Amino acid sequence: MAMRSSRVVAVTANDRQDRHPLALTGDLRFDIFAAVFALSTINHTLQMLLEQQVVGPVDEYLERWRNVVPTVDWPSALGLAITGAMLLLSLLTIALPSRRLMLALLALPTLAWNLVSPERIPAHNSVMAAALAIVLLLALGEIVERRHLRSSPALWGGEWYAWTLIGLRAVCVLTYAFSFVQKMNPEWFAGQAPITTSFLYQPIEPLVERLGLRPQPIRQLLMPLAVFGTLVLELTLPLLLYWRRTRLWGCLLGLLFHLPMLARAVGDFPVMIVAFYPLFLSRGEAGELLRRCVRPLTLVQLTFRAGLGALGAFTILRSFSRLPYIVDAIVSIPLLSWTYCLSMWLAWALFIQAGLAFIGMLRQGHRPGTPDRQVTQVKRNSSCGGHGGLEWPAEAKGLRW
Amino acid sequence: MTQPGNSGAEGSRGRGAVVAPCIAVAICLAFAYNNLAPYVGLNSAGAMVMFSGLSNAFDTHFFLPYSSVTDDFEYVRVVEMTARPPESKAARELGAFLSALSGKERVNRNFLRYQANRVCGAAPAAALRLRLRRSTGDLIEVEDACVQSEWRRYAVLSGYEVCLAGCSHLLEKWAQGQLKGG
Repeated sequence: MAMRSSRVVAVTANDRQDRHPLALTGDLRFDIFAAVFALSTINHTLQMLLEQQVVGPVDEYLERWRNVVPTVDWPSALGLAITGAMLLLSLLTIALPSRRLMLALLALPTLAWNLVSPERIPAHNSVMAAALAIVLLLALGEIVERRHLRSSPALWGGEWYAWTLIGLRAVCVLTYAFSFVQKMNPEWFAGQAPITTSFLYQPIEPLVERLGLRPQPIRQLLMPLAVFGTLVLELTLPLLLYWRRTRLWGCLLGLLFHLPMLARAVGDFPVMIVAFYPLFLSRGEAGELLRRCVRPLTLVQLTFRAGLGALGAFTILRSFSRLPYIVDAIVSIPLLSWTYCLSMWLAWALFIQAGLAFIGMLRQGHRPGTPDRQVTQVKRNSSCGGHGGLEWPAEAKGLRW
Repeated sequence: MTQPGNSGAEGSRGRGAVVAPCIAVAICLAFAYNNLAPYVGLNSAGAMVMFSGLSNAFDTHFFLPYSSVTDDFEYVRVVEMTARPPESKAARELGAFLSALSGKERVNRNFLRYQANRVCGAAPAAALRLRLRRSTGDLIEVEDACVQSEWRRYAVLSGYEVCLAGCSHLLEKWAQGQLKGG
């Protein structure tokens, strides 16, 4: 550990750019988390903008809601400016390499946004707030410490980043834990919760209609699966993700669990919670995941993915057109709707690609405890004056999303 | 971007070794508080109750008992509302909303306090008399909400729904400016 520590510090010291206090510590796991989290923030922001169209033009939504529910005395223009800042910083988080810094900056408009969302505070807002608060405060701590120790970068510690990862993982675990706990009520077990079964039923609804089957018996069949399957997964996913031997299974099951929500045109929470999954992986696994996601495909693989992509586009568009806030909207900006659908479809494609990558990794027995040949090879290369013993697969080196 | 070591715990020389875990733990505790606060009647925003079927009053949980330490966010039925001047826009809107609710519907007191503040701020000599029925059956008489400071204070950020059973369509109509009557 001490040897690796000194090598990491040496690598840091050799890189002039890394001496800058704003060049925050990070790795591929955080990069993937940040990019997917930013995509979920885009979805969240677009959805909330669309929801405002139920009461009128978006440029007067705060003035309208102010008559009804507790709201800050701010103009809609300020609300829209905060929304614009969220969209811009989310895009910059995806595009720029300094993702930890961008995500820390994204925390500021996102936390302020809660004040300009008068009609409702969705559950995932608290997940966003907690995650971004951790990223922001611990990044600030690292920057302040680096400025304080500017003359001696060798003393810059990695604990700010380490606790960022620990804190984010804890937020993910708490999210699942409280989602489970809050469902311990008679309404949930009676299957009366509004969307319990619909998440499973709606993707197969076109098939049911085409076959001329009666929907009610099928919904009755799906109900126990939705009610108890959800509880079992919410309870076990944190354990699966934490345990080294099962975390790939955890990621795969989690993706499958949240995919029906995405198919039902819920583009915010499923993408947001899945963003946390790479933080549970080792850097080697994260590199392997990325390598499998971006590698060239054979014609058969491409056709298979295109088919799943088309299915996603069909189900998302179909569900989107039936959403209450789309049906009830009294004004409509088509560009906003299409951008949201495109963003949800990108998330769908990401789910499919990542899911297939996890299946591939599981089939090839990629275990963190027994690194595959590529990782071993990189380690061998590293010990010959490479990257200071960092276990990055060769294909993942230099790759940035 | 600087690459960390495998555990990320190297170089525990700075204040980060103490401050960083404290920040992470504090935020996780705040997240937990946000999910548990409604069970004791405290304010909360964004508890993980989406699609759960849990009552808006958080009083239907199997093993987390509801025990209110404050009445600030309880749901009450408005038995009677009298505003002066009755023709003010805020008073007419609130009256129209309350009369459009079903007889058994209850509204959150934070929402009522916000609306009381609107009605009271609409005119210099405004007055608002309320008769409220609590879930326990007790009757609350508010002679003039405009002169009681606790009826003019409200939380801007609150995750409590306005109505116990649900009145989102009515609220939307109100925000659209289509709620008539009073």
